[in-house]
Amino acid sequence: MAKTKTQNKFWFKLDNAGKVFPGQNTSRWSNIFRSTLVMEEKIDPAVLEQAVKDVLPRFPCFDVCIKSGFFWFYLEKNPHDAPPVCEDINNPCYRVKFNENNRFLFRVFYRENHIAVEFFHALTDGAGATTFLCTLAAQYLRLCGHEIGVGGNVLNINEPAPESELTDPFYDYEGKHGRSGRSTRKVYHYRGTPLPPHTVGIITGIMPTDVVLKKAKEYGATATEYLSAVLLYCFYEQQKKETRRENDLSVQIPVSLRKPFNRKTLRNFTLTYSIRIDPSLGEYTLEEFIRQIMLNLRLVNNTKNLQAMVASNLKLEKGAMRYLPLFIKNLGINISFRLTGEHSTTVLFSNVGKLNIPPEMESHVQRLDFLAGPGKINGVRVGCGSIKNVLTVSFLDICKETEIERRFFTTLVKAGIPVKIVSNR
Amino acid sequence: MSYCVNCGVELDASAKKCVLCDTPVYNPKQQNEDAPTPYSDRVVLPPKVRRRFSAFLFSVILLLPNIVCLLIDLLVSKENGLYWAHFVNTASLMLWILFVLPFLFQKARTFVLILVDSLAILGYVYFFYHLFATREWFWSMALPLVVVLGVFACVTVEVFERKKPDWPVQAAVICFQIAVYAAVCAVALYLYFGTPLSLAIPVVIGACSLPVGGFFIYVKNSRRMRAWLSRRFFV
Repeated sequence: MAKTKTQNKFWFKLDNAGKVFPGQNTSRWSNIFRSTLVMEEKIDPAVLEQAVKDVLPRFPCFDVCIKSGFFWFYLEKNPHDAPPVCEDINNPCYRVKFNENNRFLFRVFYRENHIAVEFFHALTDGAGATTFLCTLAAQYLRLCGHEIGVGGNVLNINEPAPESELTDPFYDYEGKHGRSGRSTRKVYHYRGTPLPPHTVGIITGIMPTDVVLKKAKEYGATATEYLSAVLLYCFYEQQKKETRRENDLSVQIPVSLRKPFNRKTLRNFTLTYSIRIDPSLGEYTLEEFIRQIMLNLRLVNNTKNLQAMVASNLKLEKGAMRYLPLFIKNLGINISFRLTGEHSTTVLFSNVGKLNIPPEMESHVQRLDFLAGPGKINGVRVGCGSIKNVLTVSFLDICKETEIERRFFTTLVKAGIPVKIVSNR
Repeated sequence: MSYCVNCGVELDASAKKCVLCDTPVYNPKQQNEDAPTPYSDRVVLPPKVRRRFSAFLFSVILLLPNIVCLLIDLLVSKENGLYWAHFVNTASLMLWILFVLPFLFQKARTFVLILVDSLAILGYVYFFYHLFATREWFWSMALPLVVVLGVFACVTVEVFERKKPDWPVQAAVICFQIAVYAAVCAVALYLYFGTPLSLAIPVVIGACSLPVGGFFIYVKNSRRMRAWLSRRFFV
């Protein structure tokens, strides 16, 4: 396999979005997320280990370890072959330490018929991680003797990685466009009894994609708009039950920029929108929530706005602060994250969308579970993904109580969507 | 397949109860004891931070200026022996006990730490008493004040950590402790100086903190007042 110029690179700069994550990393919390493919057959760890080794050269931007420079962290080619393939655990998404896991910033797990990967967010976003996972699962199936082609989220591992996958497209929008501010106003946060450190409660709801889409269409919304509105409505009802002062409610929705800007990068290329609803304006119904979120999201989700947000993020990186030594930057990032980070978000709803896999692979795959990593003060974070006709919504909770999850899934059941629940609790 | 009779969701074959509402699952047609669970039972907790190494590092950092001071003092005042270095050394020792010693234990017991800290403060105060004692101030004033402070710290830890009270109770406990401590100070000052004037300041402190403590107890019991406070003082 011939290597491109970028693929031969020994080191990479962290992308614009990824620059903050190493600074936020502590011994108790990391910004990490997980994608799991549930297959039809039981997983053989030896074959999976070989598949990881086969696939990794196709993803040079993941075959790295993180190092600290004087001004910034950077990614350097990892001297080890591959990360160890471990048996799955009950407490996924625990903190990342840069010198563990053969210094790789992603972990690979297997269990029964599950293949799971956990990525440190500095490396990539949900789209990059699921592409890696699908390519890995396809190679695993090939090693098991199945004929699997390429296409969609399965990349051809016999081709070198093109430049477009490895470059950071954020820099193309530097200084060209207007800048957009972001709100740091505090919002409602659900509080519960915390679980022990490094443990999480997961509840995944499995439902048919076509039924969810049909229900969303009844309101003229997309699946993301409908599900995020139902989710935020659960928090609204929960807040009404509590005696605390009424705060705004805000749902944070990451949006992949690949489609609007026609990019194929495997690195972080995502921005988040926060849609806010003020409950002090009066009583809301679920229909009003769906309408508010749908209209707000469509209003801000356009290339002009996205460019302004990208330019605003780049301004932070390219300003005078770039000359500060790394330890001061880390301290600043850490303090700013503690003070503002999740304070302006009630809940995160991350939807990686529908994955496209080659038709011959479909019969080997049951579903995709996408877990957004644990929050620091957001008790619940929600991930969503779909493959074939199966859509999953996964709650990752750092609290013992399951009130929000119960409200969410019973609302869907009442709306006529059949939901199956699996959990680690 | 089983469904939760309360939530209406379909449950996993291995589920013994509904994870959403804790309703037990009983399906006489499907009692699948051996069904695989959807997640592993294996919990892997990452190793804890090396607290002892951090403690060792801080100890070395603290030790170096102490050795330098000791050497300078010995070299400069050769004939009279140590002149000032022991002030630095004793202060460093107290700071080490207060701030570095807890990191030497993986899980230190709070009451033991409070006892050790109280002894360290008493030792440091006794050092000055030993050097400059003109009257018996250590036994009649410093000792009771530090001991009572230690007892109050133990009470606070007991109340806050074990009973986990609401914030108005926490504030009330602190206010009452301030009042009681002011009274203890008044008695100690009176015993030492023997003048009623020394009672004035503790009385003022007590007169302020007791009503505030009472107010917080009232806040705890009144939902209306709590709602009013959260309206008035939101940030």
